[in-house]
Amino acid sequence: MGLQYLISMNRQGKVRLAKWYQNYTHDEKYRINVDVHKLISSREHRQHSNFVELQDSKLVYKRYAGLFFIASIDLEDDELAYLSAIHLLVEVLDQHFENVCELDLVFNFYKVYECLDEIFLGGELQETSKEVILNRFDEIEALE
Amino acid sequence: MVTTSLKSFIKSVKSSKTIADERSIIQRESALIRTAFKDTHVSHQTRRINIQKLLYLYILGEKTHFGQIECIKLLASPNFVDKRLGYLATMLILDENQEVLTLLTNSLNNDMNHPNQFIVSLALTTLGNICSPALARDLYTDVEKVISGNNNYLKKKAALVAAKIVEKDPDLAEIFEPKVNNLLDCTDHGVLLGALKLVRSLYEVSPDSRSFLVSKIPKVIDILKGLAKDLNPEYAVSGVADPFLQVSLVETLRLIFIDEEHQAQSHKFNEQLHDVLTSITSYANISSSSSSQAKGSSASVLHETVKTIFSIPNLDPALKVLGINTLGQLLSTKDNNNRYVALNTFLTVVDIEPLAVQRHRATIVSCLKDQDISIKRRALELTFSILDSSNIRILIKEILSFLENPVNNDRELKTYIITNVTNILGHKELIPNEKWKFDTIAKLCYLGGDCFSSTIVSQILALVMNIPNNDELKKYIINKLFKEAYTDSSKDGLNNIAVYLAGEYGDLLLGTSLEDGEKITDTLLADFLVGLSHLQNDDPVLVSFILASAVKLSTHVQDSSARSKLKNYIKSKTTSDNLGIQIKATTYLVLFDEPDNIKRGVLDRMPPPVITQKDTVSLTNRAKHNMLSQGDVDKRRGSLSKTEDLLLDLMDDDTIPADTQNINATDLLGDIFGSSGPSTATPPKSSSAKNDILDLFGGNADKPIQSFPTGGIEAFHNDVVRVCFLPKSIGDGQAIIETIIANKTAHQIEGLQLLIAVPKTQKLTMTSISNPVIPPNSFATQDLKIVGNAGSKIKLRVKFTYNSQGVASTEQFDFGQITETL
Repeated sequence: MGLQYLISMNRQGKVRLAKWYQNYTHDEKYRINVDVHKLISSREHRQHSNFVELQDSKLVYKRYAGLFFIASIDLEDDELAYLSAIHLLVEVLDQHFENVCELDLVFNFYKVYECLDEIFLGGELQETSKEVILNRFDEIEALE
Repeated sequence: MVTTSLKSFIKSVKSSKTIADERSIIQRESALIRTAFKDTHVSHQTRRINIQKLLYLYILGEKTHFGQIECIKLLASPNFVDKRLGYLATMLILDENQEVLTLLTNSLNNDMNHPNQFIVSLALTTLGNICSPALARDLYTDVEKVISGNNNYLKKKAALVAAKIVEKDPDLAEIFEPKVNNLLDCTDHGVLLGALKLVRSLYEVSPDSRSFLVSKIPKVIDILKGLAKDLNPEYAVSGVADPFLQVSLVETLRLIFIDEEHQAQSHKFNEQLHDVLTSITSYANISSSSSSQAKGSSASVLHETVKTIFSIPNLDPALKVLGINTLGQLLSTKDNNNRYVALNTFLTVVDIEPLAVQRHRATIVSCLKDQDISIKRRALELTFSILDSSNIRILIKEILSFLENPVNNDRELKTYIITNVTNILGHKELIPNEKWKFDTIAKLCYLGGDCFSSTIVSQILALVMNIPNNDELKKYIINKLFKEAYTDSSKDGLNNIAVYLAGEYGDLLLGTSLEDGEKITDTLLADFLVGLSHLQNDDPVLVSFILASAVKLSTHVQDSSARSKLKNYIKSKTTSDNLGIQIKATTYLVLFDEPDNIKRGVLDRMPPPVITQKDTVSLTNRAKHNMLSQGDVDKRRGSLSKTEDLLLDLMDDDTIPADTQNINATDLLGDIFGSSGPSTATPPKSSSAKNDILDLFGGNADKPIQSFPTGGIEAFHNDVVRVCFLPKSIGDGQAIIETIIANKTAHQIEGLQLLIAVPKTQKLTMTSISNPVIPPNSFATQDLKIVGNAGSKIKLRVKFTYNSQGVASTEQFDFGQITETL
């Protein structure tokens, strides 16, 4: 149930965002990054589905320009719902950074995490309204 | 030492030209941060920058554990920005197994009671991400307070955190159970998502809460109904009412509705559920003509709905038809995602409605040719699931052409296909005719002979050996397989099969022709055997097979040069450093020149081994997950609906170690030609003439069970016993079941005692056991009579004790695989 991890990496496999919702050792994380990249980057962007199995889990992923957003879920979880959730995350980022690009994520990774934490909590979907999330963001920024 | 800014650090990492450059920059910075953390005189600003850099190192995949304490220090700061950074870093760098987590308790406790909601939110989020059982127990009261408040922004988070807390410590379920009412009354979608997650977690960890949760079904149905009308633009995705919430609602309903213990209670809501599922399905169908985004959203709701329709027993059949048709529509779309998900959902319903799924055969088969491996894998599994005697020819043909396609040259897939096809060929009732069966075997060996496990080799040999000796078909298939191996000797599995058959049936093979018309002569056969050994680099299994074939052929081969080749080969192995092979070679060498009348008894044909019927296996452990994620497997095992039983079967198959999987076939074949060492060699059963010699290698190993009443459903087995249940009569509120307990060992089993429990609503009477002492390779029986409400399922919990070789053992298992109801 819920996400096991959410990773964003570019086509070269450079990780731009990684959030682990389960306990993995340092080495396991490294292994997963490598495996995920190998698997995802070998798939056709347009002709293939957005789902692929990796061992006992299922990766739901989507490519936005040169950046992949990848979520790992249980085999019987609803992949389409999680795909929509990834899309929601990217939409929120896009509006917040006004046309988000890879560099925005690199330099503002801590904001990306905050955004992620407003959508998922402990790997569970928490909020699905773009407006609610963006408003919350503005309020927090006002506090700084 | 002046610290550079985060930005310049990121830039310098990004701009490094080589990997070595990058490493050195990262390592230098990492060392600087480490030193700065130890220095107490570092300015506040620098500390903050260092934590930011630490996070960047974390994203790069560097080790960051040395910063744990520093993060915890930072989050204790009264400054919001520091606190935020501190919590963020803590969530990422710490996990629930870290000792330092206890240092967090105080800060979390303070911050959850903070007047600023954003600070409360930070603390909640952190607790939700790294909740240990100890933190759960220390902080649940704070979470409880927030949940009971009226700030929706915090309530939704607190509900999710509460769900984590009860998962970590199920004893806390009673604290949060009463909160469910209030949460479900909220109209905020975020709070509802949290409430539903809490409901599911409570359901899974706390059986005591279930009755209460079942009573919430009408409430959940009402929310779902209201949602369909509510196109709140804040939540709707392209005109579909909040699909996330819909999915969560349907998922929660499904979980609670299938609870068997409270079926009577939930049954009352069947009609309501039926209505709401129907309306979701038909509503989503209409909108499936709109944009692709809308399609994705409505499709996710549809799939959850269809899964629910099929997992709840006793729903209106019309709804099932609607469900299947909906899936059919999704499968025929061009959208890959929808097709993948539709195939997945079909797999979950195929065992309940096989015929309905059959109707989509053409579409399913066409997915085998898809480009996407995800879709192909699902289609392949589904193809095996719908295979029956009416379509076996066409489906096996498709599967074999899938295997033939070089694009699909993937060892995992190949092994999966080979295992399943071989298992299917062992099922007599599926096979259209024998000729077809063996042509399929030949094709399978040709296409997949490089991926055969020893089990597959034994299974295929068993099928060939079971053809009556005087049947022309036997000659045909032996010749065919030999030709395949002769033409291309690169496939290990095929080689083993050909070598075995050449030895066993040399008389049938000699005199037949190769592809080009060349006769198979003594010399050709001897050269083939000896040549193969050198070619395959002395693989011990193959060498054992060749040795056995060589000695067996000594009764058929007349040509003296061929004989001496075989004999020399055996002789060459008498000094082998593999002791198992050496024992065989030495024995065979003595035997080789013995007169025919002595050899005949020993080297006679093997009796046809028993063909073990095996079910198809699944490609992923989806079934296992399915069951485990629903919580208490043990409790549920006995109370499964029909599909889940089948799924469990698959799961069992997967987990049984290969050597016990098909005792009969493997033991008989594998062991004489013993794989790798003397310890595995076992005398075959019932071959008294051969025992003298064969006893040389391997005296007292276990024998397989000789005769065993058939028809029972295997419920349990280990190395010593096997327990099966054979339903004799079921119906009219009562069932009579025979329990068969078989002794698999060569020693007697004593003091056998069975204790069986049935659900409270049923009554069980047992006859006394036929024999509390089971002789080696024999069995005992005991009859059960179960009386209960007509229509209820048969579920047994069995505990039994026995003594074998002076060791007392106790085993317990649950059994619910009888599909008929009382």
